[in-house]
Amino acid sequence: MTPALKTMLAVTFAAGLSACGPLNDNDQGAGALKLAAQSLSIPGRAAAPEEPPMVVSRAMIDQLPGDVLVVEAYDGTSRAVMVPAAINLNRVTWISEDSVSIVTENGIVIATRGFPRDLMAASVIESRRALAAGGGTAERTHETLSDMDQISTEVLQCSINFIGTETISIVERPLSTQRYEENCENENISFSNTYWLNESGEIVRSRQAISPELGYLVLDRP
Amino acid sequence: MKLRYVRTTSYGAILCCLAATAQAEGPTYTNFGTTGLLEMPTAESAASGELATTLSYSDTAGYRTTLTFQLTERLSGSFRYAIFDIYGIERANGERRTFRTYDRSFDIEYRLTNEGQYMPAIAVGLRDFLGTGRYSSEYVVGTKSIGSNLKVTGGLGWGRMGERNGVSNPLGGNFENRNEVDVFDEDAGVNTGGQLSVKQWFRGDVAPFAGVEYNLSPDLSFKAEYSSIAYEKGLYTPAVDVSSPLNFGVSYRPRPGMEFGANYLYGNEFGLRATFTINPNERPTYSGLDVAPAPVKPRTEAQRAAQSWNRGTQPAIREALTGLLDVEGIDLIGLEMTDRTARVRYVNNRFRSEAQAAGRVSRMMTQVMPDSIETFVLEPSRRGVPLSAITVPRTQLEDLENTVGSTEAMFDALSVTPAGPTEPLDLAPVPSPRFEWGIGPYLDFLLFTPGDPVTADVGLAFDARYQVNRNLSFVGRTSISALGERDPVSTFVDSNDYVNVRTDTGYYGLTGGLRLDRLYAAYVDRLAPEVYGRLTAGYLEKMYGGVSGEVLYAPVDKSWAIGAELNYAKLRDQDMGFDFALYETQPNGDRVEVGDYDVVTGHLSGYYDIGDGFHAQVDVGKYLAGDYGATFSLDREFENGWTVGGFFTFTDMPFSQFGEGSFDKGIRLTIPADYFVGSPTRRSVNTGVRSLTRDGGARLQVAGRLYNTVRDGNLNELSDTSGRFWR
Repeated sequence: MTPALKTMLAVTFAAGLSACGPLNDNDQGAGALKLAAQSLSIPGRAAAPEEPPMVVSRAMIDQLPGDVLVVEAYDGTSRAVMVPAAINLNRVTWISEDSVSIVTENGIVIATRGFPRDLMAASVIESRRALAAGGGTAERTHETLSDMDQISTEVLQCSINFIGTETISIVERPLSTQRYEENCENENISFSNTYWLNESGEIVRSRQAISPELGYLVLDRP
Repeated sequence: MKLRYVRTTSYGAILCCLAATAQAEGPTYTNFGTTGLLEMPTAESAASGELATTLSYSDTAGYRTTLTFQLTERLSGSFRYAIFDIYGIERANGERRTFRTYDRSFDIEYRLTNEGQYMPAIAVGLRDFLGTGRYSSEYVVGTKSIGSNLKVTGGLGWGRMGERNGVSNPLGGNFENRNEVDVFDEDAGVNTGGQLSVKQWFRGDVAPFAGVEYNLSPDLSFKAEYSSIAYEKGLYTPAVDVSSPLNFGVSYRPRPGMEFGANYLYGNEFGLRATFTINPNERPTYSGLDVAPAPVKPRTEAQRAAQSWNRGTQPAIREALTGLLDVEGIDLIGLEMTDRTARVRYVNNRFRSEAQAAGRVSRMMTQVMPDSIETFVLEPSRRGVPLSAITVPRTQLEDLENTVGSTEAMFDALSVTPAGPTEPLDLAPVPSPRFEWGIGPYLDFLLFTPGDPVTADVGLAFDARYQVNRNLSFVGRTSISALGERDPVSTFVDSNDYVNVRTDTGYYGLTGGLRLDRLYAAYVDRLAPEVYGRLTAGYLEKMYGGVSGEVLYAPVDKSWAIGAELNYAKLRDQDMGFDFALYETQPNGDRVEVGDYDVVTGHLSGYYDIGDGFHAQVDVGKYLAGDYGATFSLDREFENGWTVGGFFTFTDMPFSQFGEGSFDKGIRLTIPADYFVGSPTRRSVNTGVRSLTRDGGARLQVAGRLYNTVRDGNLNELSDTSGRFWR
């Protein structure tokens, strides 16, 4: 590439990022460059420093009028508070301030929206029954949205086992719980969910697998 | 409070979980940009859908730029543009002069069998089967893995690949002689390469080749081959210096999608290669970074039983719904409500998938629609025409939300029919701003003119659009080049009997002054259910002004559509002002105005969604130079918005008159922006490469042809992204 061409491209590139007016998105050359700029990291523009996850206090929880769900994602690097936005039969849609939602059915996640690989739906009734029965086996179905915008289905065989009693702390409050583990697998994927149930059998804390790309979510019910 | 996936901060967390797939996989590439060794192919196929761009260079082999697309699991196709020296005519002393050539070529490879426990994978391929034949070869090749790190390849080649230690063709008879045609037509004085060289295939001498590839680690491999290409001296054959049949190379893949090669070739020179791959099947943003939709607001049994509602609340409902849809980037443009049904017409400005937009509209409707409304009728609209009516039962929305099987069940429950009449709809006023503009830089490429592979032009462009109503708009664009007044790039010497309807493109807009790129009025309307019309008039494109009319019949639940287009086009003055004029180039290079050129062109078009991601189009009619013929196009359409396709046009213009390339052909690509950026957007980048721009089979360029405008509302199209309905 000649220096002149380089300069020209650089000028075009810089100008491409500063085009104004709503119509200029259509230009093919500049549009492609802008697209490329958006998809590549631009040297010299350092990544924003990692924001520490928010700290949830009891006072914050008490301020909110109804139920609250504290959600941790990406190995604990992100945390958010969610509140119920809709209840459809036994399915509760929880929503966060930055428009991410999680749907639970009796405490078990059956859907997410706004994550990079969303769980579109899941059937978890057998897992819930096994938990209530103190252990057992269950079949789960998970649906995710594929790169090709299709529903991709995984049917998993799970075994649910009682691990022991454990005293945990949920947002500054100690709680005596019973800990269960659910091991699920099929030929493609496998994961291990953990549930902490309170005395009335409600899931107060859980670590649940969503999708291979997203990993696990940790849900607390303070 | 952050849960949304933010590229700059959370990548580490994402990558940890993807470690398994973050390694380079699949076969490596050759200097010819196809899968294989150094210059010889293997029987390996890339992952279905993979697009690979390869740049390679060595001193005497020159530059090669290749785009290879793995069309199906077994079939791949390549387009190559290469710059290298070829031998000229043999002189009395037996010497041949060499001169530079700019060459386009096409390859195709089909894998016949998969690798078995004992059997190798076997593939058959044609290299340079559509070009001038500089590299023209055919081969059968087998590749077998031995252990997990070693691959051994052996094959038989014909043509250029049959040169070294070639033996007579065992097929005998007609196959013994290759009969390579002299693609230079002396009478016409033009090169008519570019035709299918069927009569040469697998003919003439046949020679063996072989090679190995050893993977030291997943990202580092070594290759060695015994090449059967001898690069023999001959008329117009590549002038590559060869002193050894052995080629060696190392291939390094620092990360998926990137491969760098360093080679020692022909026993005497070093070469470099870079290959970049991308696979539309693997979206870097996974399922996208859209914010969560509103949850469905369910009704109780008692509420569902309601039979009517207070009509006085309609204006308030309308206002609320307008506000809610606005959150989703959707304009509500019409509403009709009866006791049990609500029909909405809207424009989705955000989502690539109309199925996703329909899901979001449905969710918002559950928030505000009176309890007795049981049926939602959604009419997505574009450029003022409703595309279809998607009827969604509200009870099903409530019952299916977040349940396994809900996507399939929803598509069973909804129906797609022609959009209803506009009359009873309570229409929104035409949106403001009615005037839109934009100013910004442009970058234009003129590709593959002789002697100059790429000519770039850069400058400033001003765009404006005035929307009179939803159906009628005025569109204009002017631009000025930053390069000032320029000399024309060298174009083809065109001695044919046809007007230079496209080959003069290099003379346009060189004055350095303000250019009028486009200025036209466009009107689109629905003429009958599923029948659409378009009328566009003005300065339609760089080279032509005129009037273009189109009618399209596109049934919403069928996989086909038919259309007709009639155009009157007049050649614009090359200064790209308001005038029309035809110029001719004098022997001294001057351009002299010699009058006008106008032509009536028209096409009948058929569109067919073949299924399995393939789409075909045939256009039959009259082209700009007055030639009659047909254009055939085939596109591989990925559900996530990518398309990769090719086309060719045969007309009654003789190959010798058409000139180099013989007939018009090219490839085209559509890349949806949301594939990269993740957040929903309807933007996409469309690009295409013609093998050569000539005067035969040239069509008027009119913006906004109907098929792609109305297609999004079709049942097949909606089903293609069905997974996004609930997203």
